[in-house]
Amino acid sequence: MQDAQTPPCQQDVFGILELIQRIGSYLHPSDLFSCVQVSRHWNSSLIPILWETIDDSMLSWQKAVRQQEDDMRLGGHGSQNSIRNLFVKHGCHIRHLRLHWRTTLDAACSGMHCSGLRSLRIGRIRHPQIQQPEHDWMADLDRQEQDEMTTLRWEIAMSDISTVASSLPFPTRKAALGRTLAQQELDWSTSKHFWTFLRNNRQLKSLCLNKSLDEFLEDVSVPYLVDTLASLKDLSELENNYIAIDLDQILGRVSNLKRYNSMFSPTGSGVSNQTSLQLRSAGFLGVCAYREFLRILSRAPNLEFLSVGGVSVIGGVDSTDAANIMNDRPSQLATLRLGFHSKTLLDVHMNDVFSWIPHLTTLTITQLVPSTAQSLSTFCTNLETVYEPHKGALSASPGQLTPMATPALDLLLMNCPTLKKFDGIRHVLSGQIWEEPWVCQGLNFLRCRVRGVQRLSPQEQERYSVIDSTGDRTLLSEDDSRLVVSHTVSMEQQKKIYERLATLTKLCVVDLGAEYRRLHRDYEMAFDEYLHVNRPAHDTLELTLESGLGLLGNLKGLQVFGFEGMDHRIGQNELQWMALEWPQLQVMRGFHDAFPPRIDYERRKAELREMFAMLRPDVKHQGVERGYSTHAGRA
Amino acid sequence: MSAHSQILLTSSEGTEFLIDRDIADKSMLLKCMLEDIGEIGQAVPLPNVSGPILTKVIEYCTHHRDDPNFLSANDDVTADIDEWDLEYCKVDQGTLYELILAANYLDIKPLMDLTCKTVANMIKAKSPEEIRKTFNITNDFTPEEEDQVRRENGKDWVDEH
Repeated sequence: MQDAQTPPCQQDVFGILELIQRIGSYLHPSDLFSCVQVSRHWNSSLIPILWETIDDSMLSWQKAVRQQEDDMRLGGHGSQNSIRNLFVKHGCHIRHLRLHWRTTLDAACSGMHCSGLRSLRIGRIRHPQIQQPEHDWMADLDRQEQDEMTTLRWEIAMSDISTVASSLPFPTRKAALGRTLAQQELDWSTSKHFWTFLRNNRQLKSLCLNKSLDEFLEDVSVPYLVDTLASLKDLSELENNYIAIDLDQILGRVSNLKRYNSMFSPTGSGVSNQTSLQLRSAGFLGVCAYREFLRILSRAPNLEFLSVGGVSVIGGVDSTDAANIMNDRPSQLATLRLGFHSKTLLDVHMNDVFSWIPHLTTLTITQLVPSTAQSLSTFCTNLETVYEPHKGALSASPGQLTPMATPALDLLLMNCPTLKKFDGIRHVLSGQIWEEPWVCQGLNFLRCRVRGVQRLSPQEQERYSVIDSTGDRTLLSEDDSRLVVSHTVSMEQQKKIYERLATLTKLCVVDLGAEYRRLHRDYEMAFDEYLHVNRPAHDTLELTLESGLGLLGNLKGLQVFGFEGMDHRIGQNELQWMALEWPQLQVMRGFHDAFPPRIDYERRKAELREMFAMLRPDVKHQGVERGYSTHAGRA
Repeated sequence: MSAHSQILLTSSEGTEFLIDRDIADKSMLLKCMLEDIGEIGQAVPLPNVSGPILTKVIEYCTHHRDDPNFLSANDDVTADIDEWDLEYCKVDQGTLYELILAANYLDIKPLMDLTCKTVANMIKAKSPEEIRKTFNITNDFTPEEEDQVRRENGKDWVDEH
């Protein structure tokens, strides 16, 4: 088969199934498709690799599905079902299946062909209204007779399944809800096949059920669903957005579950108190009651990650009650996300909870209030990361002090020696914190704002430079003398801030900048874009060497420096200093040009960016909305 | 046993190679063998590996001697091959296949990944006919079979890039 030019070992390499398949595993499906056409041997070796992972939202599946739906509309149900034939032939190779079409779902579920799945993900299913002609033999029956006949056929169909589903109540029929008879039949058939298919895939490790299943599956009883899940002995990851299931059932019956996610609020009947030692991670989009929150912690004592949409105070729990629920045993939880997906967080009574999660290292919270910061520093002695997500421009206009001038951040900086990362741009460092001792010497990521600095106004600044350049201070007018004094005060104040920041020598990310511009599009007025510009914050660091920027030369590991929206006075000297003193610098956030440079301030930034690019072409410029990609940013 | 001990390997032609123990340990085959039977006074015969190939393999293991992620480095299937590795793989096809077989036999996973990835890169973006030409493979399909394979595995649904 191979001629003389073929290297002698080639036959061995491609001949060993494990080797040719390993080579195949590095190829994209389109390349694998070419490979299976090469020869019989390549075909039989690589077909399993080609079919190992199937995602019907990728490649040209969509085209094939539409084609098939058109065929069915035109040709009736007698037409060749090519997609089903594909699953019949190659379904046994599929290990990872992601479905987004009713047609592929039906094809994959019918028969026992796909029974080796390790993961199954049902996405949002799109199902066209397939206008299948009703059964010919029903044509002569009137509507009521048709319904009776359908019910009878339904019962017969369901009796098939009862052998698999033991004696549990299987899905009951939904109301017709405007479905044609043919659609109802199709829906039954899908329901019947789907649950059997799920139960047949006994090696399933990961399962995701989407809400959209509810649009066409017949109503399933929760006990049946739980029984199905419990029959999958290897199931370790479950994302259930299909119907709400009592959490106690999940924890008690699905014994190997390690990750559980659900869009529903966690609710437990409280009837059983079986604990799950396996569960490591749980996430709920919905808001959960405080009592339920504690019950999750107590029922899953090895839980490390928990995310809830929010915690509601409804059904409040006092501290004795809480101790009862927790059996006086603190949780192992290391990461907690609160209200990540919810803007209406009710976390007023949350602070008690921290006494039950002393091992917490990472907290994400929509709004960090001082009382929470206080509890954190009291109870969570391993706290490393606090993240308060924020997108978009800060609403505070200049002049007014921000609405979040709370000392929550101050409390953490003074009381949490383990803190490594604080990311909360709505928080402000101002006032007394510069006088107090900071304990968090390991801080490597700081994102907040500095406000409350007394600065000269631009006019005063101009006047001051004139005075400064003459050098003679003996003949100053009263106003000018006052100006000199204000300038000195401002410089001293800023030096104190730099000095304090300079003690945090581990800092890799210092981002003091926030977005302050809003781009509006005026649709009525000729599609013109206009910038709604708050002025950049003036009462903050001016970032000049004169004011003490040089003190930050201590931060040798600095990778990201951000100052968007600060009314800085950075010039050529400062740029040269930064380029030299911060050798690790990778990203600067403050000169980006995502907004049209229509105002002088923006134009100045563009000039500065060009200057800096000459000095340090390796440094990237980003806007504040970007994620942090440096090592420290990910930590 | 000391970390600096050395062991002797013999290639298929009988050439002897003296290498440091920590380099031998990159091969799971040798590692397990040495752990099981301890230090042996005599040479370990490797009848499936020729001298030139064994030299190449030792070159690879020596370069990655202090690589802390040696065993997990290539888990990312999409990761690019680093420069040294790329240069290392610039060999004729015959040598490449022999390297794969040696890595398979000696059980050196990162070298397996690297060499298999290199072969995969030779396949990428080629038509079936081009692949046959590259590897000198005869098409043994009947025209009907070929047509069926195309239909079933996605003539219509695998995007042509």
